[in-house]
Amino acid sequence: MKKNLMKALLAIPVTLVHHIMELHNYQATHAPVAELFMEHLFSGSPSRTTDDIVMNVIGLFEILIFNLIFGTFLYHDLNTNGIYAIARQKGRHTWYFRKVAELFLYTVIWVSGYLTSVLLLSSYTTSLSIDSVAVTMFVTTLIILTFFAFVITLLINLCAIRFGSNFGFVIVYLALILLTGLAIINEKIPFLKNLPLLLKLNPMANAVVNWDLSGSKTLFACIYFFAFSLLAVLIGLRYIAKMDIGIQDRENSQ
Amino acid sequence: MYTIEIRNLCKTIKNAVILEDINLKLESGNVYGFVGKNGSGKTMLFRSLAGLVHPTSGEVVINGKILHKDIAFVENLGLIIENVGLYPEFTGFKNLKLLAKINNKINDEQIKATIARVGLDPEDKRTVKKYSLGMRQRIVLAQALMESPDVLLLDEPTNGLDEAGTELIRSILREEVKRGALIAIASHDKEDIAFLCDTKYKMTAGRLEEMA
Repeated sequence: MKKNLMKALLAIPVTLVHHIMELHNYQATHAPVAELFMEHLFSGSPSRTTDDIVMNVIGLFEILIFNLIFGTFLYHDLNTNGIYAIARQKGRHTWYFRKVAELFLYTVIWVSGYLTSVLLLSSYTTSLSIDSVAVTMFVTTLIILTFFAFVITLLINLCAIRFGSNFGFVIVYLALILLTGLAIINEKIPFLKNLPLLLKLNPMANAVVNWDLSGSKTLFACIYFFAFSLLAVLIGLRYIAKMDIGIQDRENSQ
Repeated sequence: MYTIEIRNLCKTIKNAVILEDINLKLESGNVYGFVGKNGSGKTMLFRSLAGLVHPTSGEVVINGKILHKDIAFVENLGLIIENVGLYPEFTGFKNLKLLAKINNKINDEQIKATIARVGLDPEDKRTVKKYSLGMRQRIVLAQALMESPDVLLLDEPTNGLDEAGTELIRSILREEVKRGALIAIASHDKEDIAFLCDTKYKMTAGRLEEMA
C-alpha cells in the first residue's frame, strides 16, 4: 500500500512538469483564480472548435498518466501474484470490493494532488486571492475528474483482465478517441446535432469541465460520472464472479 | 474433519476437454497423489478444487457445501499452484505477513516459525525476486502451511528443490497428515507420490483412474 500511495502522490510532480511552461512564462495578471484554474486545466478557451476540443482533451494528460500507473492494479492480482490472497478471502466479491475501494482512494489522492497543484499555480500567477468561486470550481472539478479517472482506470483494468493488459489500454483509449471525435463533429453533422442526448451522454463532453460551467450542467456531470462508476463496478463484479481465475496467461492467450 | 466430494466434474475450454467426468472422495488424515504428464489436467483439477475455476458441469462439495453456490473458496485452505509465486518486490516475511493479515489467524512469530520450518531465514532482507528457484518454492510452501490449514492442495510442491529440500518437504507433509490435514499432491514425479501418498491416481488426458 505504501508503494501505491507514493505512486498516487506522483500527481504533484507530474502536474508541475506538465505546467512548467506556465511557470516559466509567468506574467502576473489580475484575472480571477477560478478563470486561471480552468485555463490551466483545460489549456484554453471553453469554445468547441476542433482545435479547442483537442486542446481541452490534452488538458486531461494527468489523467492519462494515472491510467498508465494504475491501469493494471486489479489485473496484476488476478493474473499473476495475487492468487494466494484471493483464495484466502470469504468470496471473490470481498477481494473485488477491497481492490476497487483502494483504487478509488488512490484516484482521490491523485486527482486532489493534481488539482491542488493547478489551483496553487493559478493563485501564484495572479494578484487576486483564492475566493469562494475558485473553491467551488475546485470542488466541482475534483468530483467530476475523480469519478472520470476512476471509471476509465477501472474499465482499463477490466478489459485487461478479459483481453490482456495491452488490449485493455488500446480498447478503452480507442473508445475515448472515438467519443472525442463524436464530440468534435457533433456540431457539423445535422443528424448528430439533432440528437443532443448523444453529446449529453458522451463522457468526454462531460469530463472537459469548462465546456459547461453553469451549475446544473456541472451537477449533471457529477451525477453522470458517479452513475457511470457505479455501473462499471457492478459490471466488474459480475464478471469477476463468473471468470476462471489465473487459468491462462492473458498476454499469450490461445 | 473435512470431506471433499467431486461429482461428475467436467471442464472444457474452447471445445478442448480438460477434465472429463471426474468422481472422487477425499477425507482428512489422508494423502492423495495425482500423477500425470504435463497437460494431463492435474493443475486444472486443483484449480477447480480450490474454487479458482468454474466447472463446465458437475460439482465440488466440501463438507456438504457446494463450491460456487454455497461457498466461494475452501475454508482454511493451504494452496500451491504451479508457476504462481508471490510478490517479487517484497521479502519472504513481508509476503507472508500480507497474506496472514487477510484472516488474522497468526502473528509475526508464527510466520517466522513457518519460514524457519521450510529451511529459510525469517530475517532475510532479500526480496523474493532475488531468491533462487528452490527458495521461491520453499516460501510458497510456507504460505500454504503457515495458518495450519485443514486442507492442503499442493501442485508440484517439490519443483526446483534439491534432494535435501525434497526430503524436508516430505517430512513436513508427514507431520501435517499426522495433524489430521487432508493433503492432495499433484506431481509428474512418481517418486513424490510413491513416498507420501496413501491413495494414488493417474491422470491421462483429463481422465482419472486409481492406481494399484
